[in-house]
Amino acid sequence: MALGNALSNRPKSEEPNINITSMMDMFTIILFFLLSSYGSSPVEFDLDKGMELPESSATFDYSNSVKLFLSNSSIKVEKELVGQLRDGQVLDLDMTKPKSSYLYIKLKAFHEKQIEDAKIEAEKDGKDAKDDFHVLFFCDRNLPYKTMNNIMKVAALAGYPNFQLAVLEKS
Amino acid sequence: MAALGQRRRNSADLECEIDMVPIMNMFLVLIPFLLASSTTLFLNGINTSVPVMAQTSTLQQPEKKSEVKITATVKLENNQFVLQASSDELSEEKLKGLDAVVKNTNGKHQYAQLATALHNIKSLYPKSDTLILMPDDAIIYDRIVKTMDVARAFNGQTLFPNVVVSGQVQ
Repeated sequence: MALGNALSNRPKSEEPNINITSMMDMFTIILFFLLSSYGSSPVEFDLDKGMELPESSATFDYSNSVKLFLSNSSIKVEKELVGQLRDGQVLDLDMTKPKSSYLYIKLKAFHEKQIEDAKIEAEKDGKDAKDDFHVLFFCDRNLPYKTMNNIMKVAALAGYPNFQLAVLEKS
Repeated sequence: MAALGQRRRNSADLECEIDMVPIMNMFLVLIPFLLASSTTLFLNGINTSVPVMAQTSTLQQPEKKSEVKITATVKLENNQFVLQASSDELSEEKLKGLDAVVKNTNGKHQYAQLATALHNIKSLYPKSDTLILMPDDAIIYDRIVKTMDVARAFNGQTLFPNVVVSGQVQ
């Protein structure tokens, strides 16, 4: 009882007043920085585990197009697996009959769709249809030229003779 | 009069406090979300192409002598770079003078020497803008990209902006 009285008689402590203005300032700066960097990289890439891109001094921005991923174990067009590699050799790709490969069929389908879309777009705008499509090529830095050359040849046959090689900015 | 002055002073003394807590809550949600989705790797692109068969046009105007264009060809071999110049408008002798072989030193590729040889061609024939890269089958992609970097620009000077990758014809 005595304890209860003592507690009730104790002077009430004041509520602590924290100044959050400086924290708000800091948060505002961080928020604007993150928002600006979020807007400049809207595309997400799903790279294979262990795939390393080469570093380059190139400063050209990549443009979004059909993405071709060549790692040391697989070939993907966009997110779909179209082939496999073993010891740098592409399985199921006979370079004497490249048009029979699934990679060719897939790329050709993408190319035809892009042409169709460009025609519709051109009709809307009253301009000539665009036909200079390219492949955004992600290739593992340690792959030999022989492997990538075969893939590039198939892509060129499917209507993509122009490539944009995806590289990392030199740190 | 005194009463009016008193009233004004009282209204000015009123502190106006904005409730920051909801804004802070919003920031605390937004910042982790943006941090999680922000990228730490910055991706760039190198434009290149593979050679394709093209139909020649008879309507093309012949180029003036003052606008001689050299096409540089760089063969990437395991232990050296072989630079060859080609042009329809120059004699074989003059073209031979532009050729160079850059051998590895202590097992290291001499990119600076290659750049110097390319710079030499570019300074003599400034209209030149195309370089054909011909890597050996075993050359890794990383070395191709490094050679492209050197071919496009060196020490801030543009050399051959159009780089075409081509396989060797056996």
